[in-house]
Amino acid sequence: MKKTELKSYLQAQTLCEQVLQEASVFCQPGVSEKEICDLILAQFRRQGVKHFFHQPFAWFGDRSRFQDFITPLHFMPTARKLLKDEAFILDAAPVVDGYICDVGLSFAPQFEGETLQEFQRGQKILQGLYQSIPKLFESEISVADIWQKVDQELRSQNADNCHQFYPFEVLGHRVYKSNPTVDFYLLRFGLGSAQNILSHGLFSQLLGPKSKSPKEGLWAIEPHLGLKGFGMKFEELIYVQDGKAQWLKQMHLQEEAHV
Amino acid sequence: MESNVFYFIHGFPDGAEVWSALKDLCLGTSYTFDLSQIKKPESGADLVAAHLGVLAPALAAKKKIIIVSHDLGVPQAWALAPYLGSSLEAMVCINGLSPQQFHSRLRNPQQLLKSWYMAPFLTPGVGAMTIAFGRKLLEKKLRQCGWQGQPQRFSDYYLYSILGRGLFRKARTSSKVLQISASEDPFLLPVTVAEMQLVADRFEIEITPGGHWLQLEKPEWLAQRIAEFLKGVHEKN
Repeated sequence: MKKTELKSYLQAQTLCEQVLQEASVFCQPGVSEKEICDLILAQFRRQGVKHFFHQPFAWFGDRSRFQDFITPLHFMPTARKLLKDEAFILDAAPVVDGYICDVGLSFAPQFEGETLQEFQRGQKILQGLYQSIPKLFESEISVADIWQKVDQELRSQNADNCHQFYPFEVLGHRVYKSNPTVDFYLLRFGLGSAQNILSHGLFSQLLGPKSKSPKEGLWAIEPHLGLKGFGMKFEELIYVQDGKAQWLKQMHLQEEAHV
Repeated sequence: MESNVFYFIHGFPDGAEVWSALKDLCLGTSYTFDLSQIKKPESGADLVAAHLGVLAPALAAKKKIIIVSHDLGVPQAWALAPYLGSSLEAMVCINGLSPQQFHSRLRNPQQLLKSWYMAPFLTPGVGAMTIAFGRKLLEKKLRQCGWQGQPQRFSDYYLYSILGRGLFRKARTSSKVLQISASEDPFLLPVTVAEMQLVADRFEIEITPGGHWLQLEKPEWLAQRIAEFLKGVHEKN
């Protein structure tokens, strides 16, 4: 993949992070998941975004650990309102100038005492995964084994594996360029952009427990863990090439330092 | 107080210029919303996002906001309130109603008579036609009621009315509210205590002689009344 293309993916990711960070300020007690998702959509429209791989999701409080999620409908934004001192997750996948990105961020209000400790524990686990996932991609193990390793790591840290509740239990998926002229949405997924990914195959595009896909390429990786009363995740783009794996953000920082 | 951060939201069929006199008299930083300056919204959420876009620098700096709104700017202020949470210091509503208060007025024949002009604008398609064919008559009527704005803003009213539906929600705030009603307002009856109890725990009602555009008629009085109200808010905090 060309450097200019990777830069465009990174720009898309940065824009998405900015929008989600800005929206998080407006996640106040009393605002519902539906309202905040509508607001994020509107913020993206203001930035000129027209299409989405998936429209924004917001999960508040215990819903952020996918408590009792059985069907895909449970992932949809609901009228549930954010309560005081509840953690939440915002997740969006806009198509920015033809480049798909997928970003998920966890937020916590001013926690205190035990809940703060639990949140900090979650942060530590996610930071650990952020460090170890590129190394797993660089190792000899298969993508299915990466899924298993992350699962083992979460269990050993006494955290639940929540990404196993995603469709196909995915820890991640590939992303590509996408340029739909019109888009229809099914369960908030843009059929144009989804079809673009699916045109390369289904299971080869997903990082699940049974995937047999090669590791090379651009992935959106989203480890999601469940703690006591809430869930946490991050989602970022990672590029794997010639046995080397790097988060796009870090790749850019390294290049900047080099310059 | 110079640390005050005001956010002025205009009504129909005005623009941000309606606040010039009052803005100069209110001590502090001011942000104004001008509907004609924003990209055509597709939904109520677009309008909320536009408001929040204006306020983003103040919110990023952890400033507390005082919303001053007029007429159809008032329901927008109420739509914004939940997203601001504790960053909303106080609200000043001038000759305008919250969505819940609007609903409760639908059962008031006296108010319905005053709001005769609303009906076509609340019907999709009819509002645009009314603007196209009845513009001059509407402008004449509004000028008789004290309006001093520019006629091109009429199209904004249509926009407001349609988007207003998207903004309708049962908003309630724990921030203090000052509701100012003019006794000779040709469009609205003065707000009652029962109506205020629908939306706020802490509020003051001021009924003053004057017409619909108080910020143009008596800006000095209004600035003084707002300063007095804010003094109370700051003391309480």
